Amino acid sequence: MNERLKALYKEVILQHSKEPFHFGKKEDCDHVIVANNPVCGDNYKFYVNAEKQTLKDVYFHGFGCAISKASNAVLVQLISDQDLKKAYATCCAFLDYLDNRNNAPKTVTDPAFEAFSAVHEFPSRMDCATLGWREVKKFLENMKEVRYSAQ
Amino acid sequence: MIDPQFIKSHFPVFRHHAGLIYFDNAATTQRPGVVIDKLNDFYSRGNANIHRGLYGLSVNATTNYEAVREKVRDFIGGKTKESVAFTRGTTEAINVVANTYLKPRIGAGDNVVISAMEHHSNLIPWQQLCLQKDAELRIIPVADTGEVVIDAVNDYLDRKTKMLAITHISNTLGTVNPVDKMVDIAHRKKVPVLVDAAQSACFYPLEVASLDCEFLAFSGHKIFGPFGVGVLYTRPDLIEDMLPYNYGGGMITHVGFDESTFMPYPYNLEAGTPQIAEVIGLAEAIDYLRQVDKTEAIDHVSGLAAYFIEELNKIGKSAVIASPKERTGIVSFLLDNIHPHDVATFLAEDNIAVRAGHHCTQPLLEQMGVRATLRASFSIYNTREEIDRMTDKLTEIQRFWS
Ligand SMILES: Cc1ncc(COP(=O)(O)O)c(C=O)c1O
Repeated sequence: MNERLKALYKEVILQHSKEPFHFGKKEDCDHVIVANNPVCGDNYKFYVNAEKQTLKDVYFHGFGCAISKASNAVLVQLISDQDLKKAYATCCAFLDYLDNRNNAPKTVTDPAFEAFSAVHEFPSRMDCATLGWREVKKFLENMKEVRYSAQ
Repeated sequence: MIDPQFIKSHFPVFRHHAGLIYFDNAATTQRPGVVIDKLNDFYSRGNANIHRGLYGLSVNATTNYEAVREKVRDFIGGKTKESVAFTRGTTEAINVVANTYLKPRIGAGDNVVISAMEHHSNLIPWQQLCLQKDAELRIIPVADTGEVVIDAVNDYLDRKTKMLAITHISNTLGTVNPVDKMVDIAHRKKVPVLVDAAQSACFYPLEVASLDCEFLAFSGHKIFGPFGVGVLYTRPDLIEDMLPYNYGGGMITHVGFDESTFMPYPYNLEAGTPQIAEVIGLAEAIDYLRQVDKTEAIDHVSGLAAYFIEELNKIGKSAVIASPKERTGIVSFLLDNIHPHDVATFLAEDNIAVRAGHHCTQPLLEQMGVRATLRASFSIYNTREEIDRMTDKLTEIQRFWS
């Protein structure tokens, strides 16, 4: 197995994808966020409860590759029980971390992000890593009660 | 016998990518040097617009472009070259039939029949037309073997059926359909048939005249030809029913501000400046294919598929999707419960190109109970040694994953 692949499929990613955090259907939640990639068929749902400006008990379920599943598991872990604004900032930070358009050295704002650093080397897998984060970010943007400042 | 190494030497891509194992031929084949040279040659020595110029270059370009119709007629075993229209590809050809032939002939309560294994491009044009016209889209089921239930075909057709649109070969499962039987069944009920030959045109004799289908479509890029060119064959007795698809220059007989009259099929479908170089390049691909014995080619690619399945079965926890009696060189499979994209990424690191996903057949995969598969599709430049490399790698991936 070559080093590039080992870097992409780090132990944490394999672990997350085999036993993802909060993986399950919670249809009786306040909001369902759908994350579909029509090109590859990845298909996830996030089950979200928003209580007093806080995301409670976020779960996800669906079908996709190891990278997308692990990335969604980390997402759910990081935004569960987080204040809406913080959750939004977390999404922005992750997407910025993976954004390879600006070559500036990346500061890892959360150690959990680091597992995905090798995705930079695999542009074809970028969508897998970012799909859920983009959809959750969009959802948070659309929640009227939240006012975001560019942080 | 097919000599894959000799054939490979005709394809420049393998010189530029030493060690490339290209198993994505169902998506697009590679191009032999002669086809690439032909495009270059046209642009370097023969470039001019057709149909309008009176000078030598344009006259020659027109002659060369029109000569391809005859070449295609011969290639597909048609009767007249006027039954051959150039399109951008299979997708456009099917849309043309749905929107110019069928649209005026279908109404509320009528139906169109397709199979469950159609590529999205032989599904959505009919689906959307049926939605517009309040007609019904009927789907002939596919058995677990990956074969269209042939005994059911008859039951799906009735007096209200306006078209049977069926693929010759499933791009996902590799199934070769008995299209001749299906055409017979449809014709007994006076139902016209469109055959999607995207996956079969390369090696399978089409023989449209004896098949007697009303329409047939395929793409140049899947038969060693250029991108952006495809063929729509229309049975000669129906060409007067084919109306223009796009309007513009090149397809008119008279234009006034109030009304215009149009050239007959196939010219009425080729509005604007067509893909002249690509059409001419397609002829070169057909010439190249002429040197390949079709029976040997079919034996080669389906032999590779059989060999791959045999080797794959030796790897525990792998699964081949579908087991049709007649299979071309296309195999959809799964490795353990590892997602196809992850497997494909691993294979890509070893220079092995396969496809992972739904292969533009989402409803089919849903029916087969899978969301995505890996697909290996073989051509005449592929070898057993390449398959061994892939199965070795698959074994390694599985070990890494477990
Ligand atoms: C069976 C089948 N039909 C239709 C198509 C569409 O061909 P094109 O994209 O060249 O129009 C394909 C291509 O993947 C195919 O495999």
